[in-house]
Amino acid sequence: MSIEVRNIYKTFGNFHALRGVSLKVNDGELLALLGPSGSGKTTLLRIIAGLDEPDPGSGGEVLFHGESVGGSRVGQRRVGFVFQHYALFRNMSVAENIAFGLKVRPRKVRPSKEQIRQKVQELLRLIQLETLEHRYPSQLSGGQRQRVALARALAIEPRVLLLDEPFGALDAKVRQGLRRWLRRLHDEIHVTSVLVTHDQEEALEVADRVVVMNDGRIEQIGTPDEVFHQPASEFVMEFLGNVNLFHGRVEAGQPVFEAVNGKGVPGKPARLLVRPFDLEIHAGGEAPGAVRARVKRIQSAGAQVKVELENGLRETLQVEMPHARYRELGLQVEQEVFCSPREARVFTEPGDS
Amino acid sequence: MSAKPAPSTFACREPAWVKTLLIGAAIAFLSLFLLLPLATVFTEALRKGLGAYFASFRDPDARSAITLTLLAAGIAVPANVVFGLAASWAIGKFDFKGKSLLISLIDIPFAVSPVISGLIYVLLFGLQGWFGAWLIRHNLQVIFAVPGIVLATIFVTFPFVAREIIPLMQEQESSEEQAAISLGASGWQTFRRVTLPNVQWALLYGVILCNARAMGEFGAVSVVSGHIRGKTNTMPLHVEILYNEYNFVAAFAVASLLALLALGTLGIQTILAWKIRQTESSEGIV
Repeated sequence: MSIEVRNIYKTFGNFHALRGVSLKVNDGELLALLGPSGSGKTTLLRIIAGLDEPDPGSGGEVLFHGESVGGSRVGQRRVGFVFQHYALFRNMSVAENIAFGLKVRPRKVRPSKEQIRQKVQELLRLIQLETLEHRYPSQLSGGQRQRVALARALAIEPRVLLLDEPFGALDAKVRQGLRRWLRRLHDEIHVTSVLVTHDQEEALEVADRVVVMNDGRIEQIGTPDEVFHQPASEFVMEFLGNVNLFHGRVEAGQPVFEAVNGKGVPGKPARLLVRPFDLEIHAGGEAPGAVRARVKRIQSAGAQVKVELENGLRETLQVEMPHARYRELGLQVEQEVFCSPREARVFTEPGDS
Repeated sequence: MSAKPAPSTFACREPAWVKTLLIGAAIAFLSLFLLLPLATVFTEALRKGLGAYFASFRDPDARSAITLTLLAAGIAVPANVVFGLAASWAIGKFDFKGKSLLISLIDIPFAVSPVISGLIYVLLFGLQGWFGAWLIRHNLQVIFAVPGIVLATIFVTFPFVAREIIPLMQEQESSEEQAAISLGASGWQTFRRVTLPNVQWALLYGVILCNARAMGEFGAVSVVSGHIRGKTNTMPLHVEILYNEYNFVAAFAVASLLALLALGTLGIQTILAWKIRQTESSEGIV
């Protein structure tokens, strides 16, 4: 079941949550809506679900499998919605929670008691909580609750699965385990899914494609690889990881750094963004085209060593390097070093392009 | 491993004599103002033996008073359950203009003296009242009759149910309802299976308080009742009449029923409060 949204506008009072959003989710795809809070991603998800409506008269449309679902309410759209804070029914056991969507069906289309029981058992196996079916939500851990919420959403055999920051309220370790589990689950059942998250790591790891949103608009749609390595805008690049910002100019297609060559270089003014792992510290002292800086802080606990530098303009630069390289360089705090960008993404200054 | 006391307990500890004095004062106060009157009710009622005690209830006027009280409470409590649920549902789950005004309106019966509320009904439905002429023309009597008593009781007990449920509904927000709707439940199914069970203990708590007040209400009912023996006397009014006639045994016998009602209410209330605390604490951190 593919999902398509066309030209969605949504305002709350004088806050513009969505300013003309269009996108297509392919059948069986897991798509992540990624953005900071207030970027409109949850609003978009709720509009797809039918929990909210686009602004009346704005001409926005939501289509499932090419058919508009504008006239139908959330209950009729058959979407599985997983809420950020689980929203489990506190007065029902795990099994009752999962069975709810089947039990409330009109008598004519309601499965028999036995069929419901089997479905619940099947889903309990899927979420690996067979032994906890009689527990109440208050007796479960956060990760278990979220899995129950997912099973409850899957019980109605939804046409699409919508997840609103499903792991947002969990601690880091549980979150990592759950998102790998979610990805495996998706590979198994292949239901078209949209996941809202503000965690770039989560989006990049889980999703087939990532939609980066900012201020009610889509900044970029692409595979995790594309949005990470070919960010369409400065915002995308900054949101998907740490960056060092340099001012400079573009001269004959090549970036020229002010910090290296001084101000007043000819060419188009530009902002040059460099990932911390693309900044290289030179071993043998001064190097041509390198920035002079002083080591301010070294953090070596982690997969990479993070070094904080301060250049002559009192700007902070972040550098990341493998441990082997760090040992090779033998860096000390307050040591003077030279560093140069291996690769930079160039964004021309607004108004000058 | 013994449980560590909270760090503040030591610093907050008072000398033994202060504790004894304060606790003693509290017990003395409670005995004088609560236990003593309660004991008096029962000793006075039983002064002439069990025979005289039970004889008081065989009096037709006493029976009629009991029946009327049960009738008034039997109508007022279900009515206020419906009103209270509707109001708290609206206030707890939706945002609309005039919401805080509605909350204040619900509290009016608490703020207004019951005698005044009774008088309002006399002014509205009495012979000289706004609707008086119309009621006479249609041969309807509200004041000095059962409908007036029921109306006054409903008014006075209105806030009890709503007050108990509103904070709970506000705190629970509407995420479970949204989940139910998204799973295909209808509005009624959502209310019956999700919203109502989540407030059931608080609702019962409100019902118990509402019932106690409905049966014990004196002021408002006194104004609209007209004190017609065997017709418009409720239990509290009947107690007053008997007492004024120096029929102490009968007065205290009927009063003892109201006292028992109060004790029962207190007992159930305690259990419910414990039950509510339990469900709240078991919800824990989400």
